[in-house]
Amino acid sequence: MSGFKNVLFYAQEYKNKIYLAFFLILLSVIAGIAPYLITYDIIINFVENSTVTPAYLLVMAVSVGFFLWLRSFLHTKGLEASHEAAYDTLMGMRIKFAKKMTKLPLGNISEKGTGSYKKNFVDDIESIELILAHLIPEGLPYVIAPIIVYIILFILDWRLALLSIASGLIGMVTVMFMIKGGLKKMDTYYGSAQKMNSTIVEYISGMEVIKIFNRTTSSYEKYVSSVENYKKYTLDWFKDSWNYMAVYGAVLPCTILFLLPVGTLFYIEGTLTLSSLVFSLLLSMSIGLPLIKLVGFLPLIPQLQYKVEQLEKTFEGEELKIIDKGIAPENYDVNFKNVTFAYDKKDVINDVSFHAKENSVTAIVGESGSGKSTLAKLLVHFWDVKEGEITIGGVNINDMSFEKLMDLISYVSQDTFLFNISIMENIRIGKPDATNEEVVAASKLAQCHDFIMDMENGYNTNAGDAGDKLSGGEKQRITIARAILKNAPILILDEATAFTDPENEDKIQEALNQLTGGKTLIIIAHRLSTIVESDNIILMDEGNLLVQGTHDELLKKSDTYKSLWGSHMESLDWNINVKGVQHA
Amino acid sequence: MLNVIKRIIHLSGEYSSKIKTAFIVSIFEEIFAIMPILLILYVLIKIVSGSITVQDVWIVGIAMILSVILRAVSKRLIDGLQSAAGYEIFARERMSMGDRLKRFPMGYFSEGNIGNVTAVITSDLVFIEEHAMSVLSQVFTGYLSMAIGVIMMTVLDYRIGIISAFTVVLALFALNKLQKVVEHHSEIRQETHSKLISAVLEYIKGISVIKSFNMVGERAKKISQEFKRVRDASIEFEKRFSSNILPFENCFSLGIGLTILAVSYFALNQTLDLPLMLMMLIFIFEIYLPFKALGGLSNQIRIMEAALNRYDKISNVEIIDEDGKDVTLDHFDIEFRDVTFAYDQEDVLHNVNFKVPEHSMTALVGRSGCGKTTIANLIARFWDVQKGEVKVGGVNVKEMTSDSLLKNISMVFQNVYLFNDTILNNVTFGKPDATMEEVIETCKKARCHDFIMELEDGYDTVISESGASLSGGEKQRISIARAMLKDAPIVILDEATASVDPDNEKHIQMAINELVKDKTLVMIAHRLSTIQNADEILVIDDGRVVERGTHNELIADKGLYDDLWQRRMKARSWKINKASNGLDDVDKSINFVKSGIISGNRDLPEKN
Repeated sequence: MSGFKNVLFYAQEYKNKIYLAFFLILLSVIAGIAPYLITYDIIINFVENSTVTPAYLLVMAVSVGFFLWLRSFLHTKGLEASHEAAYDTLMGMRIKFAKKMTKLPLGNISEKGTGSYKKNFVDDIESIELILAHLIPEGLPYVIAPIIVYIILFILDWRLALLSIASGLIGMVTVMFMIKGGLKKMDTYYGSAQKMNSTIVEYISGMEVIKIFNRTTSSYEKYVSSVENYKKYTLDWFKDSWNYMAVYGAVLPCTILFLLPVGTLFYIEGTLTLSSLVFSLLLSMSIGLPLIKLVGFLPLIPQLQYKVEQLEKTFEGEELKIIDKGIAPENYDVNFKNVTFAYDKKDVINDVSFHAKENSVTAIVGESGSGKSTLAKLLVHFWDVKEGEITIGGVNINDMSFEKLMDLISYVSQDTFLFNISIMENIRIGKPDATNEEVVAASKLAQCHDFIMDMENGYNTNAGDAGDKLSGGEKQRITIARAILKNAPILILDEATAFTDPENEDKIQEALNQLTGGKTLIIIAHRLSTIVESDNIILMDEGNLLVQGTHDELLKKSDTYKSLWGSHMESLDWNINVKGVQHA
Repeated sequence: MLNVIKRIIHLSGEYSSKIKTAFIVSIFEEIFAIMPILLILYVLIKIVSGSITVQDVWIVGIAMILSVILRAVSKRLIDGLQSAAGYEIFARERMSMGDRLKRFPMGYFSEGNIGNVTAVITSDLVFIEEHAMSVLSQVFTGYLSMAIGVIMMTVLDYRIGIISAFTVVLALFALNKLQKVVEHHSEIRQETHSKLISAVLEYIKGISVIKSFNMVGERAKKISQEFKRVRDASIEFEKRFSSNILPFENCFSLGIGLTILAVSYFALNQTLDLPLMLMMLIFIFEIYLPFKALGGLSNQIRIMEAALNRYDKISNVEIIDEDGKDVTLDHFDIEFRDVTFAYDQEDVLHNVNFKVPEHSMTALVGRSGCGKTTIANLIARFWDVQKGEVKVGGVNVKEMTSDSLLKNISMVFQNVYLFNDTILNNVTFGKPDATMEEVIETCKKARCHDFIMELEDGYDTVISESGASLSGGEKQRISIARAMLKDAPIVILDEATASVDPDNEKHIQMAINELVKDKTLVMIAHRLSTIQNADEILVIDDGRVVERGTHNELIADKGLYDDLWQRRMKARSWKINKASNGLDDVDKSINFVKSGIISGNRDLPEKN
């Protein structure tokens, strides 16, 4: 039940509805017992005194109908209330997690991936509904009804109560045995299910390769064996369960297993009246179904707790260390001082120091995996650094709010995300108070005005709807227009943005040129020829800053840089030739 | 409801006899289930007639235990037959689906669709698997117990039987109505759900933009509104559902009330025996329970039907090489003759004609979206053309099985897919019986031997899920080694557009040179500079071949190719600009490298 309290903490407007649901369901259970009491009255009247009139029977029968209706009515109303509470709780969880997400290091989010968060937000939270909305309105009466019945039986005759409880106990003990035995096999079962799923995912994702390489049989074998294994383990687990299920499935509903023969014996002995016997049979029969249903609900309680805990863990990740001290940076110099950064305990950036001056170009180069993009991401505070500090105009980025930091920096990355709003509004994000004219001017500079005007609705085209029609390069140019409009004093540029759409590379380059003048420019470079004129080139290697200087300096003092430059020159002149003659 | 039963039985195929046997056993189970009621009747008759003895207690006790045992045995039998068959059926479905999937047109596995298909085969199929048999038996027992109940009542007293039958008919109508409501509203619900998904996806994908453009407050508000909308729609659905389940349940309340009235009234006027009346008073509360449970089941059935529909849709995709023959080719030229092709309605290729002679290199060039990738996909018959024909080695690709066509083709894609397996197994994917020497030799040629040997487990290193342990360039080279080992006479190459670091790029280029040696090469070129040696360059524009010829011929023509080439040269000599003042100055910002020392001149065509 503590699981419940934790979950309900998320509920917003309808928090009290859960108590209402509880109350209504309780009433419905009581209303549900009334027909049995009325029937008992009829039986007593018939068996013990014969003053039964048709009018009495009519009243009684109508009351039975009424209470049955009342039971259903209260139950559905309770169900409604519990659903209101449940969906309200889901909404509360979603809102809370959405807020929480903005505080997590962006680096962790991109690491985990969109799919995983989507599953958390939609599927995982949704799956709680089933438990939350049904466990109380349906699970509860299944507990309460037997208890009330046993109490009434005790009042009627304690021996009958014990007889009725006895058969229930046998059933419940069987259930316990089943759960205990199942726990051992459950892990193998879940393991095989997971394996099968990942094999299927791999099989479908790799279909192109599988077909092209004609290896349909071998990878299919892997697929087949995972499916077979899953079936085997499932059946293995279930075969054990079936034996138990058969036993409790037969015993639990037969609540009169001992009551009928032994009760009859009491009657013969003369210690029990006929009407009491019939009534106890009637009452006992009524809890057969609740008991069976209860067994189905038992495993849901730990499941609820588990699911909520998992979700909380996901969104609980460490928040960024930010204390806004309200100090304005003196200038727009960027300074990395002995920065070390670790991801998953492994150092990714190791004691890196450099200075990027206002109005200068700093290029970061190195092999993929050398840490060059990580440096850029640390500057935009995707993560906290482990040691050292990053300052802008003398102010540590930990001492400025994320909002202020973002006012200073534009980060043009390969991520070309557009919101599902008009293109006009997508660009205006860069400067919310920009006029339409300013947006158009920025679009012209970013080389996107022409293709936007080619679309039927021009700037009013919804970027989400047009998503499929826009090429990667066109989307990229829209994001550049956004950055142009923002006009932040520090610019981080991933040169790879230019390759988003090789056929339109020149257009993107032109767009980028509009962005770069007069800023503190930090560029993550892949093609060395682009950055030969940089004021400072930083060569990264496995997280270490190997050497820094201008292009000419590095050519003289670094063999690594020289060989990189050589490779680059060679690759520029590459030609494919099927005749096997190489052109150098 | 019965429709679902039919569909599941249809799906079960050869296992349907097991399920039907289970149905028969269910009938016995239901009979054993009402045994206790009959025993009550026996006791009551004896009591009322005053002839009850201790011996009867023994009889009843033993019969009771027997009925429980028999019911347990039947239950075990049913599970063994039906539930077991369920898992057998879905294992078989998964396998036959796996078998079919590889014969689907490759185009079916587009990026969006892969997620779709995967979701159906993993989530949907699992949902059906977990619920099908239980739904089946619940629906069956629901109807069966109802029938048995009515029959028994009729046998005992036809007047009560009529009341029961009346109740049941009324309930059936209400159930029908309930299902229609569920059906209608589940559509609305599905819509709400997909809106929720797209809102969430937008929020997650845009989170970095949201944060970096300081839109947190505004966007958080927007998504909160969406969450609220989902909540309200879901609550609305539940209210509709519960307001319709009430009439269904009312049928039983009415039926029970009527029965109690009738039973006791008949007993009063002596047309019904007291024991029978008592027994019926007990029984009437039990009789409708399994049937009543069907009301709550209608939601689950609806979800299952939707899942079945999605699954059927995939099962019904036509496989591509149904009529293909195994053909062994002896030459490997490629020909497109009047090829017109559309993915949906709109033609993306119009009357495309060209020939690629054996051992020659043909490059496909054009703006993004012009159809060059489509042409490459048609050679491998990822789709079927609507008009004209695609011939490989003189044989129409439609006349071959996919296997016998693809045996002759190696493709190197932009997006490298490596399996979650060892490097060795990934490389030998194209030739499972390759010796270690062959593998090493190939990997050396593909420039990946060195970095593989630097890994702790060398060739036995397992490539993790997304290949994260290798860089993009390294994965690219492994995929080239894989293609090289296959050694197919035709190579289709999609030039990688993504950028890798210079060192890697050089290695990849060397690897590709090894791969294409003496092959028939069709290349989708994005960067033009690589294809100056092509025997023929096809310039594609809007699905048509607009120019063709060698590099020098096309440059001389001063057409579209020349235009693309000039733009390309401009892009290549780009240098990051630091002089301009952003918004103020447009012209100054376009900066070319003028001196030839660094890169500019080396790129110019006349060098070749």
